Amino acid sequence: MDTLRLERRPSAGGCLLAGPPAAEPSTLVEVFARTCARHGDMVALEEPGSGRSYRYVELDRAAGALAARLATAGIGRGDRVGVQVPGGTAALYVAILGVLRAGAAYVPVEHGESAERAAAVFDEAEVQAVVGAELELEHRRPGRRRPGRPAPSDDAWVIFTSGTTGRPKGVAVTHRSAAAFVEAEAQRWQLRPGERVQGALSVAFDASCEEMWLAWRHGATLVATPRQALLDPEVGEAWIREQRITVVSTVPSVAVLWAAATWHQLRLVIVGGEPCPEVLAERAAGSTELWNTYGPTEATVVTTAGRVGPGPVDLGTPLAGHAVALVDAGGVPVGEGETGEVVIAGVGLGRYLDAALDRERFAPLEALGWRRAYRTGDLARLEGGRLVFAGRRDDQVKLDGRRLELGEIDAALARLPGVRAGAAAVRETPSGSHVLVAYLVVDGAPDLVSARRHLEAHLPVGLRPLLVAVPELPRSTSGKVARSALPWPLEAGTGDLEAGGELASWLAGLVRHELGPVPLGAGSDFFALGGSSLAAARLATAIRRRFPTMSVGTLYAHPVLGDLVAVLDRLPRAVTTAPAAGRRTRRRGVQPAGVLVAMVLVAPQFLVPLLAFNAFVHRPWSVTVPWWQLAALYAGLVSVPGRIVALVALRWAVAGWIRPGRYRRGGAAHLALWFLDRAAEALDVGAIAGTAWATRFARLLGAELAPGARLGTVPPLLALLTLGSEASVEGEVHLRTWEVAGDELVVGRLVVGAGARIGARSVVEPGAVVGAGVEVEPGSAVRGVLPPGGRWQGSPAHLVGTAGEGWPDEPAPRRSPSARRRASLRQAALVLALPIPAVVAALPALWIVLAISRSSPALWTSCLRVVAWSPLLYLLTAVPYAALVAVAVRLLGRGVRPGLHPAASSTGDRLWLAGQLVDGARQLLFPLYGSMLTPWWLRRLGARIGRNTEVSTPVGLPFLLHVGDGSFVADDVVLAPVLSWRGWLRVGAVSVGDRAFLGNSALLEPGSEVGDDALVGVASTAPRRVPSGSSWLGAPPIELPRVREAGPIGRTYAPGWRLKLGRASMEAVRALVPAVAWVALIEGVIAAFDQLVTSGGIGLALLLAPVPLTLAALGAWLVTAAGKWLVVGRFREGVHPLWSWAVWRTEMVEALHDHVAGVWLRPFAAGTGLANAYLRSMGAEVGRSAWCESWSVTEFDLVHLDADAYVSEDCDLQTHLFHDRMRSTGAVRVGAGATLGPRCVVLPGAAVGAGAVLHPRSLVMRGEELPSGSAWQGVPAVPR
Amino acid sequence: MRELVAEGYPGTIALLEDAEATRGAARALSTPPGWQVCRSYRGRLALVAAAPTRVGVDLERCEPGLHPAAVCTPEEQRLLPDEATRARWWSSKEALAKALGDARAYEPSRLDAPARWPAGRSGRWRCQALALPEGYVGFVVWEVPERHVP
Repeated sequence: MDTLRLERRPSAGGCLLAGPPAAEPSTLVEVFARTCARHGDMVALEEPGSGRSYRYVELDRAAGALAARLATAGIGRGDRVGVQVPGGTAALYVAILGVLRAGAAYVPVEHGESAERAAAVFDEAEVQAVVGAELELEHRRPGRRRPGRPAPSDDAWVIFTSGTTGRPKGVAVTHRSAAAFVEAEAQRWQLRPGERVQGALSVAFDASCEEMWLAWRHGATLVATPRQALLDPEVGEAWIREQRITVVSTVPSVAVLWAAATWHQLRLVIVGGEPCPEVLAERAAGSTELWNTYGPTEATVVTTAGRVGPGPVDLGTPLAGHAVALVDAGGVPVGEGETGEVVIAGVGLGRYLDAALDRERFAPLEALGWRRAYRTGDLARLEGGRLVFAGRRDDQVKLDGRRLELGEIDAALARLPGVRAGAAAVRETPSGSHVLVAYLVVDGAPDLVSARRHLEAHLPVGLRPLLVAVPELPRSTSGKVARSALPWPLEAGTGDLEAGGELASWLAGLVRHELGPVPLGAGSDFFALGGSSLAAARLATAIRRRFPTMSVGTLYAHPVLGDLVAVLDRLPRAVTTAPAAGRRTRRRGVQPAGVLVAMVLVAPQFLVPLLAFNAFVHRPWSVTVPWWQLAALYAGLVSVPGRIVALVALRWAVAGWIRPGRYRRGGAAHLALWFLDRAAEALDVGAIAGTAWATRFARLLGAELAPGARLGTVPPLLALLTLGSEASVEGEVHLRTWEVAGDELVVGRLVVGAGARIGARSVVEPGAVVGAGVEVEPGSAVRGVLPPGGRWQGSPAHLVGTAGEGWPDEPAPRRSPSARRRASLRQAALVLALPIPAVVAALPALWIVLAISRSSPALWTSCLRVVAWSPLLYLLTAVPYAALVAVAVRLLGRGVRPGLHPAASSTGDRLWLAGQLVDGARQLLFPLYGSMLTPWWLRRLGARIGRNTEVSTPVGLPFLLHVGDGSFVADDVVLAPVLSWRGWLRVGAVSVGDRAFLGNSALLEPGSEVGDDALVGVASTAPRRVPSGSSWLGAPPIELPRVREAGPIGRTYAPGWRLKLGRASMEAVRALVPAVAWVALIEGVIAAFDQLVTSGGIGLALLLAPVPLTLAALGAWLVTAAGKWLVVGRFREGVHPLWSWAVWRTEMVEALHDHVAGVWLRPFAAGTGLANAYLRSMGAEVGRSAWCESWSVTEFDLVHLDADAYVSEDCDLQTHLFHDRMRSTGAVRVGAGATLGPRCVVLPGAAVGAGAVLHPRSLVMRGEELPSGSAWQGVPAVPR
Repeated sequence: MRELVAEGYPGTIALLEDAEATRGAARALSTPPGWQVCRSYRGRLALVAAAPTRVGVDLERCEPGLHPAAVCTPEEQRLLPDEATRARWWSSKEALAKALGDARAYEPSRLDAPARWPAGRSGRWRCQALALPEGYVGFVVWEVPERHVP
């Protein structure tokens, strides 16, 4: 610092360093008030765990409220108040500010501290009261009744450090000192308002004051960080990333564990409390500012600070108002280059509560004329103007950033039963970490286990010395214990762990690296050997390199090394992944071309209706094309047969060369298959699923299908598929002939044996072979070989029984060849006729459009008028369409009885047609879903739905559905899919009781009964009978009772009329805005095609089709993004009841995303950089070259996809849950290069580590983290 | 041996305190036919619960060393439980996992601690802490027959 003076005192023969003058006297309360006045609306404090946050004015109010309660209790200036509130909570900081506001000093004690130690601290400090976890007050003694704001001379805090006598010693710091420290740090580091500062350190550790006041001095946000983030470095790093923290104060031994990506994110890192290793400077190289600080609690947190750069690390220079001198044993300043004790003077000096100790340690330093100076016991020397740390003078040591007096440990050791003498020392292990070793001289046989138990009750929490029995303690000539002569390293002893094989030997090496050369046996306990929490975290980190699913928790659960070896042996080994560069090839050029072609394929779906309209209605600006051209266009690319032919041609042209094998992700094969997906979407032929046309289509695509095989799912275009006779694939099955896993694209043939059945919504992975007669139950994930005859269920599928149970022994009767031909023609006719209800329903709207066109002088005038009429046009189409669908579905459902029916029967045809109509209605009548109208609409379709029940977007036949009162059916729940087996169809109703909850993507088979108050979790398969009051999760499901979320009844189950009115209004807007946007975009695109046809005929219109469609996609993007930012702004974590504006606003954005951007942008953009750009514009964090095909995103700002992440279609990045009608949101993170297979769901707060692979149909539970490089599958996910 | 009381619990719970005879005595206790029995041992204590319904009982010593990541759901970890609370949660989870049947199917970090159930209820399940000698913690978890769920 330029302002520093380096004074040399020739008379004293030494030197001192002094900072610039201190700031004017002030108090912390005034510092906060000034910030509050400047940045009142900024966020001062956040507790991400609960979603709670306080703006400065709110925090001020909350602190004021506590201060008022303290004042009422007679507590004010000159009093002391204990604070024992859990770390990581906002309440902790409210408590501290509240005590300060009351004029009292706060006395912090860690929440997990033993009752004995807490009592010792509070007694020593003579606190008037203690603030607890819920900000409740425990009164201890009467206050001085001096209410008011504190003066600079009043104490701000009393923090206790370890004492030589075994008693903790309290250090009081005045507001004058504290405020001067805050202002002095502000001279060094300027934070931007709103910048995020980690609040992780225990408030019983004075460095926590730095975190708090760095934030609150500048209007920045303090992020309350859970203890877990300190205990587990990986959790800590993930936390820093997720919470977008840029400023951290910590100890070097934590910072040294961070990965480069974490350093890259941090702008300012301040370390202190331990010597700072040079290696840290290398880690911080780049944009991070790294500072090393030095200072004892007795001199208000920090005395000196220096920027860390290349080369040796020094202690820096004194802060403003502080001075440092180096003196010899006689108190005389030493010369430059000589080692002396660091003595501190200045504004920062605190005082001991113990007056005698205070006089001793804060004695005058006559040689410099200082009336009060603190002798730190630290040694340093001045080298070329730099203050360099040179060790400790006495027995005070630092361990894991916490200062300890070895005397306190010695005293505790001496009190142990059966121990004659004890001495403690800190030793360095080969890994560079420090271990506290307690040497005991015992009477008789040592009982180290009971000794440990006694020690834990008397030592600070987390302090677990390694206990070693020695015959005697070495002494110096003065009789004191010669700690330096205590044995280290210890003899390796007779440890037998290495004899347990390679893995045991490898583990022994890692443990010794942490704990030093201790004897290790299969029965050795890591913690009993002195392993600290940090050492545990380090060991777990080291083990993860080989076993990525290893967690610190596993070590805590299996601390005995022999057990740990057995556990490790069962864990999956690390998978190696290829360099990320391989993932990014050729996308830039090929994908845009693919998008353009897909747009050309879609164009006829606009052109044909337009030209047909023009053929009937002459308008001045339109031309009429010959009927044959119109018919050719329809037959070629609009009609289902035409689409089939086009898709078959594309399949062989684009992917004819792809064979089973392994290809590069992002390579030519991958791009070809991605393009085929886009083409299949542009030329959708979903209507043929379940008909004879699906099998014909499959054969044209190259599949080998034996007679009698049934496809209830449209086959993939790369149809490397073999189906035996009578094999049956039910609806919505993912027949994956290819998949991405890490850096690879795996292509494989699927074989389904004769008479086998693949249940609805299952996923079959490339290369799977399903044996003859096998039954795969709905919602399963199939991989590898399933031997013949079994019944399989779950993800991954497990053998659960014998195939064919409950089905007839004989296949269903088949139609005669002539009847089959007739049925096939009938089905073809029905497929072609499917659009008729929509066309008929649109006639009134078309009549209005016609009238507008005739009365408009020009095309664009006509367009604008149509857009103005769009709400009415949508209603005029939707109402008759809904009526037609309802009548048709009711008629089709009439007479369909639960039980078995031949697939080749009129019942089979009716079920197929009803399914198609219901699916179509979900698209066109989207405002009727996920709204207050949904139960009404489903009742029209034949469902029985009770009162006050919420239903979103159910999948299945409504006339088979019965839901009671007050239940909740989330998105995409599959209800009673039709099952098929050797020509039979099984139909059954589903009955759901009152107040039940069905999580999204849950699956209920026909005949299922769900009792009252029961819950079926996300992506879970319900048991056939779900008893009342039970909760189930998983596939196969297991019973999992849970803690219910408590929400306000008036906003969850029993809303008042105002809320109903509010929701109805919001839903009206939610329906209207996408509908208007929809009509406007259709009208715009058709008008543009009209112009193109007029200018250059159909050829030009097809050629330039990407122009209007691109503009429409951009328009949809713009409307959706504008809607998101206007309606919601930024999504934040939190909990909101169903009947709240926050939820309705979110649903508004969902409607735009699904029905505007989802219709106009998604079909082309999925998996491209365009989708990434769109997601970024909506607030998501999407890294470079990420590949996202999923559109299931809602709270965009809570989604983080790192570079090269791959998210398959049908994946749910689910940032919210709706249990008990409370919408709780949390971030979802997919790490760099991680892969999410189809039908995976990642719940709020969960993270998939870098390079991890989540195989198809998996569920990552709320808050879980999958380690980097690991592979997982299952509901819920387990290591694969 | 003494009998413990849990409100609304339809069976019997016995606490055996004899260090030597505990295990044998716990096994020898007779129960009506068709009842389910669950036992738990720690040190010199044993708990035996029997009921005409699914039941689980667990007994733990209040010892430090249960790390949150090992025994708590992510939601519970956010609540920052202290050692004593973790021991209680762990014991209640163990009791529930035993009552559910295959205790090994239940990963503790995915099982909500019954000790946190409001009023000791979750659907048809009930949970209650047991009055045990100092230094021990224990829970009984049982299922209310479906027709009795209010």
